[in-house]
Amino acid sequence: MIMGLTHGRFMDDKRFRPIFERAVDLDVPLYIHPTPPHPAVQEAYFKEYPALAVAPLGFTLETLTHTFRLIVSGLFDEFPALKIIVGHLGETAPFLLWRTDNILGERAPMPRAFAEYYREHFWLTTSGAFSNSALTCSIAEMGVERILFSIDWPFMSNRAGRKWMDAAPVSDHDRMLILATTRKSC
Amino acid sequence: MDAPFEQQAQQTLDNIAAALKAAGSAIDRLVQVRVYVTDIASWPAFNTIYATWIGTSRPARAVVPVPQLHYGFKIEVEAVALEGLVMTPPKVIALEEHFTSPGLRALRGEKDTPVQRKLDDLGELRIREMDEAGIDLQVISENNPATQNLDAETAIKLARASNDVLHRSRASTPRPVCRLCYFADARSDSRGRRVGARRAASSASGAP
Repeated sequence: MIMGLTHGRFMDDKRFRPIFERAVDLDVPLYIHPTPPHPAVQEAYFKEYPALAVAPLGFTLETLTHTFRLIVSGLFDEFPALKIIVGHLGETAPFLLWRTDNILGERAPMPRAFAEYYREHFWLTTSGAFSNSALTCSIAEMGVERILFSIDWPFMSNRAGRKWMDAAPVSDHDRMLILATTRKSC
Repeated sequence: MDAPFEQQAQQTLDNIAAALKAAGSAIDRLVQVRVYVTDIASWPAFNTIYATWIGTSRPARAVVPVPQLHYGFKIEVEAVALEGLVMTPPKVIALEEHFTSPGLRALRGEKDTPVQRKLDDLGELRIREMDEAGIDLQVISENNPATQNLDAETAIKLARASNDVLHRSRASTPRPVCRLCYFADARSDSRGRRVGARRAASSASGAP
């Protein structure tokens, strides 16, 4: 699990390549977890509204930026087997995929389309995002097998999360796919 | 038929397992097992073999001593099972779940709040709240910001201590039911440790 910036640097910085090499060698995913944005961003964006700087918005901007940067950096061309997990249903990424893909495709094309990288390399968890519409959008963009159940305990309630998932607008088959994620071993 | 009792017993039970499988059933679908033995003194030996074979299932069972068996065998077993396999419900897994190791808690001077008490817990409190929500397995990670942005030496030291805490708690989890697992850089195995160490080292090289 990576907690946001490391001394002000995103993970696409070349010095962090050994971590991705190791993850691919071990065939394990890396989880990119939110943390408050860079102090300069906090100052410029949230000085007057510190409550927004963390989970309500700052975390999302920080982690979303992190994940999009990884794609644009060409990291996944270098590591075609790399798997990344992101919480909070992708920090709004599913909602943005079309637009980001569309504009980048015109202005800064990569070997493959932006959305293709995202759909191939990312898995999203439901941590702290118990929203039917966000879940529906995530499934539509990513496919149900890319959605993994999470709570974000103890910051969110296990009961609330389970209650939400049990009533979420998905088939029972899809619900089980989300709840009982692929398990290699324990 | 000259084979020792243990071997005959094992072979008989293996035959039943194969027959069950061929019939689209399984050991956990057995409802009754009746065992005939020519020497009741074999009961303890049989029971040991049977216990391993039967697992957690508990069909009705009788062990009956008889004067002799056909062909001179020492054991004969008849078993009745239901058709079809039991659909074991898949495990419900939650994977972005947190904890704080004592080392990091001390370093960050975390206050003793209700949430922090849950983060500190790797046992009863955590499992109880999992049970309340029907969560079978938590994949735990050190709480944000974990060892990120510490100097390399401190990060490595605390990451190792964190691994050790998780490893110890994992070892004390009742088997075969595993309730807690750990994420990449907070894993308790040596490979995870190397990932953690590398991350810490990389972090340090980025230090201003």
